[in-house]
Amino acid sequence: MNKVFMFTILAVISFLIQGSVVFPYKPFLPDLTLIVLVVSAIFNGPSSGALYGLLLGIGQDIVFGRPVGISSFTFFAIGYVAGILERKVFKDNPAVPAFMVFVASIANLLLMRVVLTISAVTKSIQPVNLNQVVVAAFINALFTLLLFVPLYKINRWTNRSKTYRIR
Amino acid sequence: MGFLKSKGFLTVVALVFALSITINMTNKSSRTLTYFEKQVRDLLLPIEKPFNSAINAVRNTISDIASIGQLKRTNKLLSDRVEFLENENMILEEERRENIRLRSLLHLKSSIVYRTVAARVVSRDPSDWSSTVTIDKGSNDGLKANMAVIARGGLVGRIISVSGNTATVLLITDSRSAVSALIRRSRDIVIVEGNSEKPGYVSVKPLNAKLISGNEQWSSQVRLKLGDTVISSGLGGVFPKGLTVGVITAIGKGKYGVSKNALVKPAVDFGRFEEVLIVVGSAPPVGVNER
Repeated sequence: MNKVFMFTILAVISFLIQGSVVFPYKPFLPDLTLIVLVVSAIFNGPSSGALYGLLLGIGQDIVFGRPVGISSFTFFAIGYVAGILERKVFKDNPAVPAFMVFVASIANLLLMRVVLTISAVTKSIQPVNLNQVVVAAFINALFTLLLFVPLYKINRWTNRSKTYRIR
Repeated sequence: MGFLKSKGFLTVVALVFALSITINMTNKSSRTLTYFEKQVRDLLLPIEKPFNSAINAVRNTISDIASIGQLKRTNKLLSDRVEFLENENMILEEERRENIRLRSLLHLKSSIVYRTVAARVVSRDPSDWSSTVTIDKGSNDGLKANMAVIARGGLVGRIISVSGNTATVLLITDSRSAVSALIRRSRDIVIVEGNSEKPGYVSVKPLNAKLISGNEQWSSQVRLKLGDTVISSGLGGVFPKGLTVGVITAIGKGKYGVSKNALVKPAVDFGRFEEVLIVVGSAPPVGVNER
């Protein structure tokens, strides 16, 4: 119950901040939803990660008025892959999730282009500015370092049976 | 081939199938939201509104403080300008009165008035491929899909979906948007589309484009100049005629050097606008000149 409650709160907060006018310049807008997804997935495993990705994607699509399901494809895959690494990485070191978010940000953007083209949501293939993609991924990684401790504590609180130590 | 029958694989296949159906069902230029979508959006609105107001208040305060020095200089300049304009205003007032008299002689309507509903922007789509905003008015306020949305300065976009208390607006800068427009000076009809290569800008295409080798060619009738103002044409029935779209800032050659591209800087600052007006009334009578 704690887990569902906290996950919902985190999702709503990330939608609110991302949808607000805090960061008016889109290319450098940190993707808080992606950060929440990757960190939650590496603490909860592939099944939970995939489920979180699916729910966050659907939630984001509804809140921002997109075709429902368009973000779920990429978030589902990213949540699953990040979850697979649950037991394979030193997740108590903030640099690990930060690096994973960096990779996930690039993967998310490229996968989204594929989904948009296949589903014919956009008329043509959306151009990709690689420099902008790398800068955006770097900003996401930076925000992961800032948000890791609170997200870590929330995950520890919701997974009381598991024990983690933070450096 | 055992993995093809595994539970995980079948779940993924079922999920991909289900998501494809929902995307296909909800990927429409304007649509009715499902009951669940309406509930989620209406439920979030009471949180979104105060959150956004607080954020805007903080941002505006910071911006005000940062611009005090500039404000002093501007104030001095404006004081001088006010004096000059007051004199000019007196002359114009005389001309306005004369204009009213002449218009009444010609039986022309003096101005175009649309019935509008004011709304506040409560959320923006953060993704780089979609340009939509959510506003705090919905079907309970008489809003419907395909109504035109304007802001101080010009055209913003159109409503694509509504819930009871919210509506989603597709901005003219979105690559899925297309608006029939006119070049104000030459009266040539063009199509304004969102520009996916230069976010925040829109592209202009001629309506009667001929396709040669896959590139759209400018018709010889379309006459463009840098600085031309683009306005809505009123064709298509969604956007009323005469709303400012923006100003042409660049005319360049296309990918293969054969076609031409025109880039328009929208009249509305899409990075900052907070309030909008939704045109709920019918378009003005035909024959009224909005120039």
